[in-house]
Formats: sequence, structure tokens, C-alpha cells
Amino acid sequence: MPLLGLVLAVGTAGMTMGVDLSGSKWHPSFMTKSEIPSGVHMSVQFGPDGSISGYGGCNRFFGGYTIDGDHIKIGPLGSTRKGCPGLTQLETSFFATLEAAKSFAQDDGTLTLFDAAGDKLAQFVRAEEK
Amino acid sequence: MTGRNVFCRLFALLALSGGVAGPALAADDTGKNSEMIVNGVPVEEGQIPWQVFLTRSWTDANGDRWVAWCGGSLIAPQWVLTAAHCLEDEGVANKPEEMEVGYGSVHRSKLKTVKIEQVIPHADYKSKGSDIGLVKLKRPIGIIRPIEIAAPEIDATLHSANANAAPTYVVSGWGRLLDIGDIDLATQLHEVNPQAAQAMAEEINSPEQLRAADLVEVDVHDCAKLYKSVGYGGPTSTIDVERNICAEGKDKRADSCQGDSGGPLVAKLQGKFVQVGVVSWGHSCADGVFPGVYTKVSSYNEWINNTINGAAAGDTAAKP
Repeated sequence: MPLLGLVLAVGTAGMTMGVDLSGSKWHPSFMTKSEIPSGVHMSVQFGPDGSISGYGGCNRFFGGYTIDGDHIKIGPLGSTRKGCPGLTQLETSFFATLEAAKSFAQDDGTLTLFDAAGDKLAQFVRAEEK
Repeated sequence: MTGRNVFCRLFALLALSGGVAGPALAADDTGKNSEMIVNGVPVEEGQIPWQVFLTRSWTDANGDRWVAWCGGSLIAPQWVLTAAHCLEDEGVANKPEEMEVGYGSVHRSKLKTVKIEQVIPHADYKSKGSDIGLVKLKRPIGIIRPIEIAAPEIDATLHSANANAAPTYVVSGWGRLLDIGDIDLATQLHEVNPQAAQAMAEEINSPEQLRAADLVEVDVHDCAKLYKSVGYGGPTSTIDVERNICAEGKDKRADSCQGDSGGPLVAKLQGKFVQVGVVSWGHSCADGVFPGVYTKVSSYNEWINNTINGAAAGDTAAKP
């Protein structure tokens, strides 16, 4: 195994790198830059057509995403224009986190996004099927 | 960047968004200018009387209190037009008892309030992106003359009035004054002067006085192509050339922003204002590339009238 692959494999034990996200929906459980209040609804859904959408706690957001192996590019993201004074910082941070993602890893119940340096940006749990 | 530079730049941005005279496009029949949200100007009392402030306050499962707001317009004494996304969260319609409408002033702190009887987001919002909705008030607001909503023939009139120039509009709201990048500056300022940063952040995100901006229509086909080129394409982010309007500032620096959703985009026709759009969504605000996206009111004129008339006739279901 190449060295980089070995490092990634060790760093994300139990996770699979670069699996298709198409059709999956996730809720953020952790973000490096913001604390997520437990009562706030946030989600992200990866469409089969390359579109991404979700809910930032206040506004719906949308845009496109591409995946190449374990590399991911999200955005630019747009959103509806509701005002939520207590959630502005959190939502802005959420959108910025998604747009900053360069790679990802996932297992059955967890999705992790990483920045260009390979540092963890955010972690998500898979939304339950309704 | 030094702290002093951060402060100077923020101060300059706020001054610019509040006080520099721009084109007098929106001069109304009183002769006053209502030039204009991002790079708009404050609105004086009486200039945009149809503008309302729609708020929702709720408590989550943990007991934390939250507030969200939107704009709206009084289109009949007991009816407010707004965006569908202002009336629901993740597909669940908001409870009328959690919401109220503020009216009668350009200052948020001076608004009179009225309770809400019914919220009616368009049934096709989630599936087709019909981002429009109606709010029935508990009582009529008799002191304000409602704004006329655009009928389909208005579009032809708007586009034929000056075949060589795109139609011009006015958008208004209590939304954010600056874009996200500038708000990051406020975060930096916090390290230098926390109190000034707090006051500035509040004014940026939640301005006290209503603002308005002059916008010019962007060809909707070009706008749809631009957004599609960067991957937009879901049901709520596909620009429908028949049901959306795109608009931006003449120099691309003015735009609606977070807090302005649901608010009116109006045109001036034969001396009076007509509502042609509802603030819906966009990438960033006034970023110089992506125009703001508005719901085209004339395409929903029939739905609006049928819903209001249906409700008046006792059909509270008021199906779209």
C-alpha cells in the first residue's frame, strides 16, 4: 500500500475512502469551527444528479458537488434568504465548512469531511430513512 | 490585516451601505427618493408602505428560544404575500400561532403587530420550487393601501416599455447589509474592540431601518445557464424561466440578502408601483457574479387570487 494510503487508512480506521455518496442524507454531529446546538435541524443530501441540498438551521441551501475517488468538491452553494439572528454564524460556518471540503471518508453511519491539509472539518451521521 | 485596518474597512462599508447617494430610480410620486439591503439606502416613512415584517418565534425540544424573520407585502387588507420557505421548515408548515406580522413603520422597533390566522405555502414548493406563499391575518389592516400584484400582461408591458433596456426594479427589506466576507471582518474586529464589533454585527445582520435598492433585470435564460454551470439543479434551485426573475444592482453591488426573503420586488408603471417578484434565493449576496433569484409574481397571479377568493368563500383548504 502506498504510504499516503496507509496514513489515511490508519487515520480513519473502519472508514472507507471515496465511496459514492449519491442519494445519501446526513446530519452534522460535529464541526471544527462551530458548536452545533442539539435543537437545531441541519442536514445535507447528495443527489444522484450531482446536486447537493440541505438545511442550514435557518435556510435551505443548494448547489453542486463532484467526487473523484476520495476527493470531493462542494459548491458554490446558494441559499434562501431568511434571517435568523441566533443562527447566522452557525449557518455561515456550516456552508463554509462544506465548501472547504477537499476529501471525505465514510462508513455505514458516519461521513467525515477533511480540508486540503487532511484535517477534519466536520463529521455527519446518516439520516434515518423515513 | 491590522485591527485598525479592519475597523476602518468595516466603518467604510457601513457608511457606504447607509449613506451614499445612488441613482434615483425609485423616486415615488411624492418626489422622494427611495434609492435604495446590500448597498441599499434607508427608506423613509411612507415610501414603501406595503412592506411587512414576518417573524416566527419558537422553542426547540431543549427549551432554547429561536427567532426567524422574513419580509412580505400587504396585497389585500387581510393578506400578505411572501416566500413559501418563510412559512415552513424542512417541509413542515410553521404554526400560525408562532408567527406575527409587523407593519406600519420603516423602523423595526416601531412596528405594530397583528396575529396570523393561516399560513399557505404553495404546495409545489418542495417538488417544483414554487417559492411563494400567503399569510391570512387575524384582522384586516385598513390603514395601508395594499400593493397591486403583477398580472401576466404586466410582463409584456414592462419589457416593451423600453425594448433596449432591461426592466428596473426596487427591492426592500430588513435583511443583512453586507455579505458573508465582510461579516468575517466583523469577527476580526471582535479581537480589537468586542463592544464595537457586537454593535456592528447586530446592525449588519439585523438593521433597525428598512432599506431598499435599485436593481436591474438579468436575462433569465443567462441566469439559469450561469447557475446550472456550477451544478445547481435540484427542485428548489432550478431557475424556471417562466416562474423566476433574476436581478442585480446596476454595478452588481446591490442585492437582497439573508433576512430579505419573502419581501417585494416592485416595478414602477405609469406612476404606480406593482409587485413583480418575491425575494427567494441566491449565491452569496451582491458577489458581482451571481444575480439574486426572485419568484415571478405574475406566474402565480391566478393561484394568489384563487387562494384568497377560495378562503373568502370558506374554502380554508385553498388548494393551489
